[in-house]
Amino acid sequence: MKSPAKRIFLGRVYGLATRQRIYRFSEGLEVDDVDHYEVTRKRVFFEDILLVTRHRYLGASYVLSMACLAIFNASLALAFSFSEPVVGGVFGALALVFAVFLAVRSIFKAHAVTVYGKRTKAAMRFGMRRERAARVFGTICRDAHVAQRRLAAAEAAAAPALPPEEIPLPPSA
Amino acid sequence: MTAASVRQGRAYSGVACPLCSRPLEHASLVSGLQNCPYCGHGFEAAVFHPVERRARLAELAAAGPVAGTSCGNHERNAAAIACGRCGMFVCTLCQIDADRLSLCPACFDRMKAEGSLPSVRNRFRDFRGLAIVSAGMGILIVFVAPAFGAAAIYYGVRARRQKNEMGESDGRVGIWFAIAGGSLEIVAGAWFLVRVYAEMFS
Repeated sequence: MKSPAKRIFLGRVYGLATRQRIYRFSEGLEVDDVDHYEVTRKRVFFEDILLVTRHRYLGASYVLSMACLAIFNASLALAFSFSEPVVGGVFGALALVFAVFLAVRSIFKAHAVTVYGKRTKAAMRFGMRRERAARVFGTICRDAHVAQRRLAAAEAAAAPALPPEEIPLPPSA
Repeated sequence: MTAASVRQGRAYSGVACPLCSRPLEHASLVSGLQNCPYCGHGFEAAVFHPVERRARLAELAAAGPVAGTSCGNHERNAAAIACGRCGMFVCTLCQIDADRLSLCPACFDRMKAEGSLPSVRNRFRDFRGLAIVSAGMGILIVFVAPAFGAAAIYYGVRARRQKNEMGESDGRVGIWFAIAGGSLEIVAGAWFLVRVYAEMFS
């Protein structure tokens, strides 16, 4: 049996209600949507790509969770600081860690690439990996260019030739 | 209602801002750095204008008295191919190419329902996720660790086979951890249960 075409993992999107993994295969991208241990697969073909974007984002859920954890640990550190200084110190250190995560995300932000096709889209988040996001963006754009150029050439070759224009006869003398 | 069904209810509306998700006019976009007219956030864009595939349909009348065989579904259309499964002649409108086969619509529907077209199949079981969760449950619930361990090994093996069939190279570490964890859970869980029963009946 012939081995199947290789699928290369590109990126993922994990949210509260979303778990998507994006793979690249020979003709496009496959979006695996995981829900309750069942995977639904959608495809974005290179020939159907309309737009590829790359942007930086803050991520409200990440910022909110880091802020809440930092405030929670800081309040515990404050509460234990007089009665149990060591315990208060541990919570203070944890609060500092979460505050550092929050500050780093606020300054450098996270990177994402989104591919819009005719029927569906594929979104990928790369966290702080700027080079990885740029590489994936460039790869997808290149593959889309190649596939769409090939399709345009095939359509042009298959189009019927235009009939030659009739050369008008000279007026009779 | 599962999250997937909720997500499926929101139809795809085409190109949009990647930050605020509001629809954008594809014709007005240009490649390069630009700002969303709604939220004002900037993003880098690569815009494509794909050529439409055109089905070249030959009418039977135009094919002449000698050339034409009509499509089995559309009498006025000239046949382009013979179905690779049933042999019926079909026109380019009916022709469906999948898995290196040219099929008529009826055979395509039948083979898709049978699962004979791997490239068309779009729903799978997440065996890797099941293996990891089974291994985790075996750690949490020690009394039934051998059962969850066996489940982790079974799903791990199925996941590994699925990865090989799909040609994927990612996510294999998690599968091996689940299989190894399942094996340990069977041994450790069995030892634990033997000790408990020995204590109870000693």
